[in-house]
Amino acid sequence: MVMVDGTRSALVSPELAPTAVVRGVSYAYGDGVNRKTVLANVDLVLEPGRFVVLTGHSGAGKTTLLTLIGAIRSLQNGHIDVLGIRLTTGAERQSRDRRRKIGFIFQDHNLFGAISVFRTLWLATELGNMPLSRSEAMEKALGILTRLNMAEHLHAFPGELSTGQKQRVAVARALMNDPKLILGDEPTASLDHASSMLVVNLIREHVLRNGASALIVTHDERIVEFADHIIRLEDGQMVQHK
Amino acid sequence: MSLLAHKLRSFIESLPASFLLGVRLAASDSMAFGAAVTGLAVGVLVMFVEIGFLIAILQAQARIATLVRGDLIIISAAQTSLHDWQRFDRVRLAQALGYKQVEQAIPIYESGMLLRNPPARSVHRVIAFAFPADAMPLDIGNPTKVKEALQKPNAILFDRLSRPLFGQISPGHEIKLNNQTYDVAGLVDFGPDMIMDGAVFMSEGTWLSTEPGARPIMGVIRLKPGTNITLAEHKLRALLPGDVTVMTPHDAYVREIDFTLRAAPIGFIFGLGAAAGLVIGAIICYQTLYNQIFDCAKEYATLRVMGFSNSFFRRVMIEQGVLLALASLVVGAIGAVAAYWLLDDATGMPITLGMDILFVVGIPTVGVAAFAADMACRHILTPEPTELY
Repeated sequence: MVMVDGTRSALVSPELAPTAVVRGVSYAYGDGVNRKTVLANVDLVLEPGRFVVLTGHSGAGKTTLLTLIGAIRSLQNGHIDVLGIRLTTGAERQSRDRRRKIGFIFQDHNLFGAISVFRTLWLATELGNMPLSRSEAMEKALGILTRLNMAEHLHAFPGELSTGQKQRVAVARALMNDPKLILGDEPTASLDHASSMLVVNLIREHVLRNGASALIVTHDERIVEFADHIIRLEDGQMVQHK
Repeated sequence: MSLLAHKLRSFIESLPASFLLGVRLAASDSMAFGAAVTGLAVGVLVMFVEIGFLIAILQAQARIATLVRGDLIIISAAQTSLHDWQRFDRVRLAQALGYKQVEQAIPIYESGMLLRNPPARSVHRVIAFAFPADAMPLDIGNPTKVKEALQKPNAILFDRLSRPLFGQISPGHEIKLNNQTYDVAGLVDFGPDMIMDGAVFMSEGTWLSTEPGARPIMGVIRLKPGTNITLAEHKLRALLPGDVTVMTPHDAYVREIDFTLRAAPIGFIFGLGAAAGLVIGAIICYQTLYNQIFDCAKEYATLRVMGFSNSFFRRVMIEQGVLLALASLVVGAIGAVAAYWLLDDATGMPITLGMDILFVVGIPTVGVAAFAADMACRHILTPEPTELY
């Protein structure tokens, strides 16, 4: 089992429970002779305050693991506890409630062209415990966008932004509800170095300030060097590198 | 003013981020939205035309009941519709006067006649009415002018709303009805129906001069002021023999529409046409929203991953469907006004785009659009979010 609970930040209380616990999870695609196992009896514990990078060759099952932890995909074997609650196969409503507490960042920004940056971020707060008013959301969005060098684009529409700028909006959206768990799938793939550093620093700071965890799937070496822990997936098994 | 501005700001502040999100999404692609509205408006226009024409026919068939200037009518008990010219004995009107609350019992005679307009050199069937000149039981024009005109010997009033096939007929002209010559003493407003192209009116005296033993087709009862109409209706029914029946003009109107819908297949025919328009609209609405979902599959999937509920997506899609429906109703209504003008010009049966037609077309249109949106929404909700990537 990989325990990701190394040196904690002073900002994170040692009593905090793990944000995610993965036990005995296996996953295979296809049936019969076409069946291919991508995860084999994987164990993983994500402790609060950790910025964890998940690497591995293409098709190693990184995204599959990410989607299982994120309650986007149904479990086949094993169990996963996220934020203290066990995910149950087939319970869509429970999965949805769980996902509301997670900040997702995907390789593609997936922003609606018709919705402004501000409304995109404000919309995300409707999933939080207490939806923010317009002015509260404006203040919060501006704070996050400022950190991402995007403040002047608060009222822009995606069509007016570059790919990298859109991706930074997607990162801001993931952070609007102060999630305890951030799951990122190649979040910096479309970013230049400076923007990647802004994103990584923001996520790291969020993780430390909020006692959250971040699990980031990436091949980006610029991110890897900032990770508290690096986990590599090999032949469906997990190997801790750092 | 500042208080109003403050309240407005507070109201805007209180609106959630997702308020009218579907409207924003639908309206964002103006080309696609315009194309969808145009397509849907065609279906809406078909409905407007079908429903409008049906209502125009029904109103034309029952028009005489709406023009009655009285509290009750007497007709033959054998009469199944207002166009089923079953006559009754004139003595029934005298008997009705036996009920002390009856002030007047006015006979109306009605028959089909052949009208020949010499300048037009054509003969067409026309509906002819007659009533006592001083009683004016039908609301077809200014009572004083009608009375003055009909008191002239051998005078008739021509319906100016008649179809144009009769040619130019105006006061001072001579026309022939069933080969008898009459003087056109004035014009009144009545209007053609599904069968009759026009109408003429004459006094009871003129009518009886050609058919001395004529029997009326309807009697209009005027009650004394303050009389309970329902009670009077029951009393008269009890008082009069069973060969006639008594009802209010409104009941006669309702009965006529019901009869027309039952006896003629027009309700089914026009209903089918309207349903076809509705189906066309539903298919276009569904296809438009499906395309929108297809184009934004990843964006919707991302919102699902984030945890937005099924009802959120339904609301967003239904908003889009309703916006499409409302925009199409506006475009379709503009088209309908033009279509109604053409129909009126061609048939002489005026159709007004009133609230009744707007509701009859609008409610199913919005309902079907919402249903189509809900169906389209399944393409967001059915697959696992990962399948959408």
